[in-house]
Amino acid sequence: MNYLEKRKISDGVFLGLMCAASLIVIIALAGIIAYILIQSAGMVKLSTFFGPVSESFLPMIVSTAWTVVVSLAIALPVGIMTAIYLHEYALKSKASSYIGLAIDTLAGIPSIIYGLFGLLFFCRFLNLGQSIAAGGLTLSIMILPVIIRTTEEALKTVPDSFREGSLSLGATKFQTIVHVILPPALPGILTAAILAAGRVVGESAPVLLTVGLARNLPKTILEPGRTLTIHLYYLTKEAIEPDDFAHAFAAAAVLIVVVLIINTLVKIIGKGFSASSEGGNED
Amino acid sequence: MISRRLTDIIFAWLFRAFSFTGVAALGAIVIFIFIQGTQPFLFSGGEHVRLVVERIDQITVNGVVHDKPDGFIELPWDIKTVTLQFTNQGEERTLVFNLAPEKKGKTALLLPIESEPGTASFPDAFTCSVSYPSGLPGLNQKIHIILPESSYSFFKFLSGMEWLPAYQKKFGIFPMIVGTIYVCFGALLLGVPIAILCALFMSEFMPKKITSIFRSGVELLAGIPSVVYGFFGLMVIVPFVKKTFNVPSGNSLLSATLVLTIMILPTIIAVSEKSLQAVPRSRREASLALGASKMQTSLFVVLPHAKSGVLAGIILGFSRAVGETMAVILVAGNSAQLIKNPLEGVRTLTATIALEMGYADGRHSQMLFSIGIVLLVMVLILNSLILFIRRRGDE
Repeated sequence: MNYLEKRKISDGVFLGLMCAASLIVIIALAGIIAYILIQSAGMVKLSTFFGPVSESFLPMIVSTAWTVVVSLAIALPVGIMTAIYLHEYALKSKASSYIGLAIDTLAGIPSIIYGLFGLLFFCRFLNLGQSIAAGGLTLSIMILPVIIRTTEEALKTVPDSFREGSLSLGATKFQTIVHVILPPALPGILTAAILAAGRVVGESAPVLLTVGLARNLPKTILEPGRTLTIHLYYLTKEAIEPDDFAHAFAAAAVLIVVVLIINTLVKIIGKGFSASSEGGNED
Repeated sequence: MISRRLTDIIFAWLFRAFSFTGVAALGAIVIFIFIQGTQPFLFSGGEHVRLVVERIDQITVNGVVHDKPDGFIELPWDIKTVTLQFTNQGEERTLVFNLAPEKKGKTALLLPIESEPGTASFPDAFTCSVSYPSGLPGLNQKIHIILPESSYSFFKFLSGMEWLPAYQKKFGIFPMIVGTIYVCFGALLLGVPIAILCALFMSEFMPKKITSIFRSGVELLAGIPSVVYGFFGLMVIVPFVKKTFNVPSGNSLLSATLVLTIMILPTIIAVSEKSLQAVPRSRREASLALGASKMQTSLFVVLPHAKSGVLAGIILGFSRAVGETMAVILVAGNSAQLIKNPLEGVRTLTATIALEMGYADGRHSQMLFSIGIVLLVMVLILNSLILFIRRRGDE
């Protein structure tokens, strides 16, 4: 066997391994999604969503929605302002590199640590107790890096000629940001908000520590609640009746569908976004 | 005109002020968790010997009469002898016990306690309960002596083999550290080859259109909530492990490792693929022009060139695995023991925090924050490693 023949065999073996690895990834992805959607299809009834409060998902959906609203209401303004400062005011300065380092570190901290901090600071120190407000505040810190980095990416796509044009017409920096830079970056900011909302919906460990397990229909954000992920966790961990598994499958299916919707939305916005920014570059 | 300038200046300051939120939040997280988590090692649990009585109307403690005592009766920590007098079944009883104070906040009960006709029991390491019969079952008169907990040794915390927070008050996290390391290294062992091969396949061999579809799939995999992974693991992987290896419970290190492997795949693939894509075309062309096959080029030219990015991806995956909580809780079995084979249950650091925070109080609760410190330090080290590798890769 000469060298070329040997090489053909070893190349073939590696190609086979690569195909196998990719296949494993595809099977894992398709397997999880298909398994949960198919299994839940037979078990989910309309009453799981719209039945009486004690049996349906209504309290969990309301708790989850409130948590998303609270965390985004805090993290979006702060995150967008940080991104604007980093990219428009302090680009490549020392301050921005320190802030960037802090944000990257925040992004790497495990979610359970956020839960511990939220429990200590918001629940106990600020005396909010286990409540949606405490959970929302905790998660708002957690999603800050996502919002800042995604918004920064959006700001990067706005060409410098826009800034220069506006400044040369006599607009102040603030006017330039509000009227010239933010409008074309808006789809990117929307993407940031959607990604962050997805993180909040899917997060469980910090929510368990700060929002709690109470299965009530929260009337204000100062009450405890139980989000969908915690409901799924609780049902899976404590499942006693066969009905619990049907509920668990339904909850998992809802979470998967939310993830699918979020991914699709981000893709659609991304496509429209890149098309419009390309149009901008042609001028 | 002036108002326009003013708005400009005000908002510039506003943006600057808000941009420090991230820094402040990071500082607050580190400071708060460190302050809470270091308490058990720096301070003793209390500076008083405390008494709690049940169903006793009047009790005399060292000559001081307490009427209808409610809550704690506190005595100084360095007290040597305590004499209690009260009425039991119409008779005067006297209970005397001796203490041996050592240093501030550390004292010990000298045994045996003469407590006839009562019986002394020791429900946990720092408590002694003396129960006097009252004639009616379940209505015994009780006196609980609670000793101050001395500060815990940090070395014992890290190297201790037993985690018995409720009664014995032993807080050894060594089995959990080992458990975390086993689970994470297991996931890396299985996940890294798959992820790197897959990333190479994506960047070097797949047509561009299929790569972008594949990339969306990987992003989707990254977006699935961890509790859903845990649920899937409990429903599919745990029964699979149970059946294949014929063990009584499939909740084991192996199941946790398999679930974590799937979870870290998207992270490693995404980061590796990005850095493989960034390898300049000229490198590939030079290698091909020298007569290397496409496979040789991708394995021996492209992969080594992107090695810092791939390494960063692997460490990022590891740090994700260390911090993963809910998926692991559902499939790992959660027994705090040193395991000998991968089919036994294992408990990670994160699982302990999430499982016990709901009911922990006092020192137990503080110890969970101490576990948080251990986790935080581990993750911060991993993060700085990533940063270091990225910096060096950039140069």
